Amino acid sequence: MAKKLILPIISMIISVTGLVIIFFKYDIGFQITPLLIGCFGVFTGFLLALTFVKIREKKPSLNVILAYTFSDREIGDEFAQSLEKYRIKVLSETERLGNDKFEIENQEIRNAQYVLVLISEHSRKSHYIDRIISLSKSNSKRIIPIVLDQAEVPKSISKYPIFFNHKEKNLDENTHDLADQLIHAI
Amino acid sequence: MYEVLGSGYFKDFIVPLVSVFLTIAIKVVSRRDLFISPTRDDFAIGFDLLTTSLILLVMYSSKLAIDLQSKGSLNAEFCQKKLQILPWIITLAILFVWGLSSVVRIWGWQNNQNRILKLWPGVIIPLMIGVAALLLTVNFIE
Repeated sequence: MAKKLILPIISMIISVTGLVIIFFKYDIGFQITPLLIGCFGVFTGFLLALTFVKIREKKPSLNVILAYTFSDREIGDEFAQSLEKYRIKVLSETERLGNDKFEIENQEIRNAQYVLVLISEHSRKSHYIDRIISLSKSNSKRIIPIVLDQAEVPKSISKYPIFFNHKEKNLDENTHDLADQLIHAI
Repeated sequence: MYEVLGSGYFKDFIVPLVSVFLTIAIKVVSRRDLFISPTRDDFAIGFDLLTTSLILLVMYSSKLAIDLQSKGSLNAEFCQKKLQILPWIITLAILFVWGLSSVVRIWGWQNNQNRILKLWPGVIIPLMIGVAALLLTVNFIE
């Protein structure tokens, strides 16, 4: 590595020496006050940029609905937490919410960019999951099925590409890895 | 408006401020929404500032040459003096940028890591050189 650095460093030394010679030979007078004002300008620019970055960091990057049944709440909650680390606003919906929240669900699905549905043997029996799928389709939302066990994907969403299928891969990865893969896939 | 643009503070204060702010902000804004957490790469703006300085110098040379060609130029001597040294400054600056970019390529990246800059040789040293180049260029341009 040291050998590779010789030529670039020599070129830098030559150019700096040349600039210094020009500076003295042609008497280029740099004024100190404007340089100090410039330093203050650069510092202010940095502070503004940092503030901008911090404000932007807090803004959710994506709204997703994560729908799962009460029986799958353990993996569902864990997956929701993993997604939130990526500043994804996750509306974790479980069938516990009951049937009287149709309007709220409809509104939330309208605001979401993606609807993630955890498919399992339990979810196949759930009217709640069927309703979420139906609402998502009527709102033309992209549904991402995540198959957790041996369950078949419902026919109503069979045309959507399956993001994770337990039948093809073992669920030995943790939910954080699953969230990471999902982020890179969407 | 003319007063603002013509004021010394615009050149000395606003130009460096806007250059630094916009360079960082545009890097962050142009990335995918899912990956907007700040990285070292966002603050590695030394080469951007060096390039800005070079472009400013080239534009300044062009302006001086046009001024010199125009008949009845009041400060022909001043333009000639600056035009004598500007090609040398630009050539030496390009040589310096080439040297610095090679140093960063060889020394500025973490081993066995993809696309992660080292803090000092990859980010801070080029940044300080870029800031110095921008301030000196802005000061040189009259």
